[in-house]
Amino acid sequence: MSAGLLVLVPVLLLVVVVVVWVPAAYNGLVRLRNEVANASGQIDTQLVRRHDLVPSLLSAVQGYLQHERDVLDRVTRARAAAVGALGSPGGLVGRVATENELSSALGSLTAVVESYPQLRSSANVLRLQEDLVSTENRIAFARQHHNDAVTAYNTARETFPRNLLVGSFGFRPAEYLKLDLSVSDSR
Amino acid sequence: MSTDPQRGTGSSSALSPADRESFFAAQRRHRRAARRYSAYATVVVLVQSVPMSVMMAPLLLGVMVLAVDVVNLAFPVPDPRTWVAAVADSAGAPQAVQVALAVVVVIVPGVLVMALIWWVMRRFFLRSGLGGAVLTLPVRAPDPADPEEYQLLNVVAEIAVSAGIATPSTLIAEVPASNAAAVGTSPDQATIVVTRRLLDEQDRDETLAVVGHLVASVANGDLHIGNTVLAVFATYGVAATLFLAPVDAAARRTLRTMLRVVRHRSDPVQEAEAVRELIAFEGGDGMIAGMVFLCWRLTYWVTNLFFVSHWLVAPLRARRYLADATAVQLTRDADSLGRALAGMQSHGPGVPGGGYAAPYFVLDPQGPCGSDAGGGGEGHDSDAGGGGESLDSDAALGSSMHPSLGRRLARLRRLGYLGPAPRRFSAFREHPVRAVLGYLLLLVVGVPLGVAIFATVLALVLTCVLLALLFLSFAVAIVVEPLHVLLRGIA
Repeated sequence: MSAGLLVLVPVLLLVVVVVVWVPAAYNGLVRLRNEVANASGQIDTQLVRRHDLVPSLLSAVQGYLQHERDVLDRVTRARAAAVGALGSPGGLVGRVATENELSSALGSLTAVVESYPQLRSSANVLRLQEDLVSTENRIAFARQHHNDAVTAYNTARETFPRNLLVGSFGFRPAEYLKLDLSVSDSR
Repeated sequence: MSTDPQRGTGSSSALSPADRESFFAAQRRHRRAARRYSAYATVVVLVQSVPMSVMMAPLLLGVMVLAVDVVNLAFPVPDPRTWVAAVADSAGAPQAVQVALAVVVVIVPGVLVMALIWWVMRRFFLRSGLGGAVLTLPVRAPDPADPEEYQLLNVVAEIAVSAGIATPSTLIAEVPASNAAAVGTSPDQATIVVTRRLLDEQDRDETLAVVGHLVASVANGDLHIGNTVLAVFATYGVAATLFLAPVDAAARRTLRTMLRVVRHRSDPVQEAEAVRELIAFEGGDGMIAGMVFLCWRLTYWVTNLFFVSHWLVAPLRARRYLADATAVQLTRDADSLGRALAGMQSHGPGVPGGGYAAPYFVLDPQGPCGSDAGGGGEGHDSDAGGGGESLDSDAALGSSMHPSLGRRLARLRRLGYLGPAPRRFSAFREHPVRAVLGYLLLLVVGVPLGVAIFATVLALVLTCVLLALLFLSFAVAIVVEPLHVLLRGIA
């Protein structure tokens, strides 16, 4: 009887682990992986929002900035390059260089706008600047959310005992995103 | 103005690295505390429901007797009072059985009825989202042509991206207060309400931090918990009207209004008004009704003041700390949140009529009113917000649903707030001799005094319960006995 129990108890424990813990751990990892994918998609959305904002900003300021053609052309080129890179095979990581160049160009434009009092008092330009600031914030927050999601996912997949599952079910590590997208920092 | 959310939480804090805490660690700590306090609050509410249930017993037993009499018209059923009497009077019955029977008869029906009322009210709040309470304030949609309000719309969208939730809708409250609230039933249906004064007085980073606190609160599930706690207060309101219904026309009228609102979905503002009327019920016309209501109120006040209110609001306070820590995770900017809270407190967070929905505000809306705000930044050191009443004049009885600003700022300093440290008074450090004498006096006089107060409170509660039992038994007997005799006679 006791020998039977000695066999039965470990078998029951194993069954409980397989039936209860494995699906729960697997589902938890899938949920965290999907959060990473969702956060990554959010960055794309915000980058496209910035691409769409640039033409309005340029048309609002170019009348005042006839002597700043270099800055305007740089923004136009950077924006065209960023839009052109949208379908590139490297994904978001492959487009970091073009997006960083656009950030830098927009930083230069913002610095120039600050030195023109007429522009600083234009309600239309102020609104577009607010939109630009908000878009930069959204990109930074989306990146931050993505990296937080990556931390949570990678921590979950690397800690015991869930790390026993990752090899069998193909949970690859997620990558952090290193984008320097802040206009103010890139002046 | 600087708007970079990637900015660090500051490095010039006077706190040593050992005193600092990561926002993830802070969230874990506050989440554990909130769970622990929720368990305590559940136990305390169950204990408080016992005297209330005892007082309701005559009414419920009267209804039960009449219901059995009605059934008896169709199917023969013995008089229920004879079942109880038979067991209670049987000399052979063990004492434990008699005690158990008394508990079942006197306490269990009331507890079950109050649990049922709580369940209905909670569903009602989750349906209507007590947001109606805040929507009874003068609110309007933001005007995109106004730069500050346009900026607010952007700020809400930014924080929603940071939290990974859908962008909540936004409303502006035209009240002379510097405060903000998140209302609704779930993260998908949340609404952020910001007072116009807050927009005028806070810079972009501070507004971002305040909205971050609200979105963090929404994402943490505080709307659900706030609705659950407010349903407890509403339960006492419904129970009070139910308790008085046999002897008071105003109570019956209030109950009918509430039933109509619960059964038929209506405008959130109307629903909020109905709940407000219920919670603030001041019925009790006539001598018997007045005495019964007085006993009920005394029991409720005394139990709330000495036992319940502190524990009931403790989970809500813990969740404010949790929302602060989560907001710092979302914005990576504890300093702006600390500055925003201190500024709001000094400008006056008091929202007239907003106390009804206190758990949903960033700062206690029962705090100092905005109209007498003169600035001065006292909020850094003050402990204001810790003593205001919330919900209504009875509900929390001196226990604010918000932690004191000083404690919040102290916790935010560990996360990176650079403002002045809250003043901490240490009697032993500043006046050691007087402190020792004071504690000795407290030991000699305070402890016996505390025991005496506790005994008095218990005696007061017992007296109230007995008086209410007496008055209500008398009132119920006048109504039930003739009907009982009539129905049994017909049968």
